[in-house]
Amino acid sequence: MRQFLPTRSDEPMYWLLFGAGGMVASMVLPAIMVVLIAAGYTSDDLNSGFLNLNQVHNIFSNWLLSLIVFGVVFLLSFYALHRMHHSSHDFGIHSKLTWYIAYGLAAAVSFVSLGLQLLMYVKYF
Amino acid sequence: MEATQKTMKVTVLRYRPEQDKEPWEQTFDVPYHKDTSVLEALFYIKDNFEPSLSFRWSCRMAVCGSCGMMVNGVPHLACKTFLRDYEGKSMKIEPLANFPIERDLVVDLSDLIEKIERIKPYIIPDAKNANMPLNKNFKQTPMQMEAYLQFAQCINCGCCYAACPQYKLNPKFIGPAALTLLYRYNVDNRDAGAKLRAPFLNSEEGAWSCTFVGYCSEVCPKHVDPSSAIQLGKKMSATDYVFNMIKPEH
Repeated sequence: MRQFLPTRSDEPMYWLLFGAGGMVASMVLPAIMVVLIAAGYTSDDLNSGFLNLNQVHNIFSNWLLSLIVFGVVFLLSFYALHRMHHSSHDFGIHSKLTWYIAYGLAAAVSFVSLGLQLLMYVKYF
Repeated sequence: MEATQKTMKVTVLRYRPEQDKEPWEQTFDVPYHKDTSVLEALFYIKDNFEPSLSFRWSCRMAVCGSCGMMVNGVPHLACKTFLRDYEGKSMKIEPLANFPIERDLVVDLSDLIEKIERIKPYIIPDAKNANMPLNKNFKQTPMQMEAYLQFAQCINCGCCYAACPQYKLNPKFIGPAALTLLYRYNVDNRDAGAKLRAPFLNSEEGAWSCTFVGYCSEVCPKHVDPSSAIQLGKKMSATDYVFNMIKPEH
């Protein structure tokens, strides 16, 4: 007798991104904040806790730092929107629409971040 | 014996399919001591007020898993829950949530049983050991036993299914106890059946319907921690997913 087996879910892909984003949120983000706060306390250049355009340029003209910033933005956006997608299910919204909204938005945020960083890298502004 | 007997208002959800259109509540004054369990309170009601009251029980010591029911809305084993912990409050006993009621506090657990059967909850030896007696080639170190022992303590009482909001939303979800058993056999070093169980673990109704609410682990009377087993199962399934992407099996 043929046994009908359930099909494989694509969820692992999103779950792995979600897991990686969770690690970034809990470990990398606090480290970045500590560094920024320390920089804010020790540097005279920092005005009222904001980086000036020159400092932003310094960060994004370094391809490795750019890549790290992109990785943080990409993983954090998938992390946050994956959670919202599943929470909407818990709140009784079972439409596939939340899937498109959540992951579409996460992809959009990542692309905008990548675009801005590239423009920054080629010194467009 | 205490000098003054305390009593508690105990409300029980009744449903007699041949008489009642829908479940209704009946309240009793039950005397209790510091060692009176909910199960004993039900015995008292059955002996003194309502001989027709139906409920499942067997061992009275949290081993058989028969007396799972909702006490004030929380899944509990009736034999392991005591009236003293509800002192000053009233008590409401209902059948396990998320399962159809058969009669009074008796629910139809066939969905749970079918799901446990589906994930093949037994040791499947590899071809080499298939015809060996189990005590021959199946030695196990304490460390190998440690990997699954906690998850083997499940008594199939159904409390985790009554607690699970995802099972409530989607009854196709294989659910905490069955997924815990699936993981338990997959990590047993004597077992080689992980491939046969993989389709169930990897499916949407498998580990991926769980959103890690964790209430199953909170209510589990045997401290099995099903939500931990499911997250470990997700890790297993995600690894399988990545390997399948690199080298598809069909």
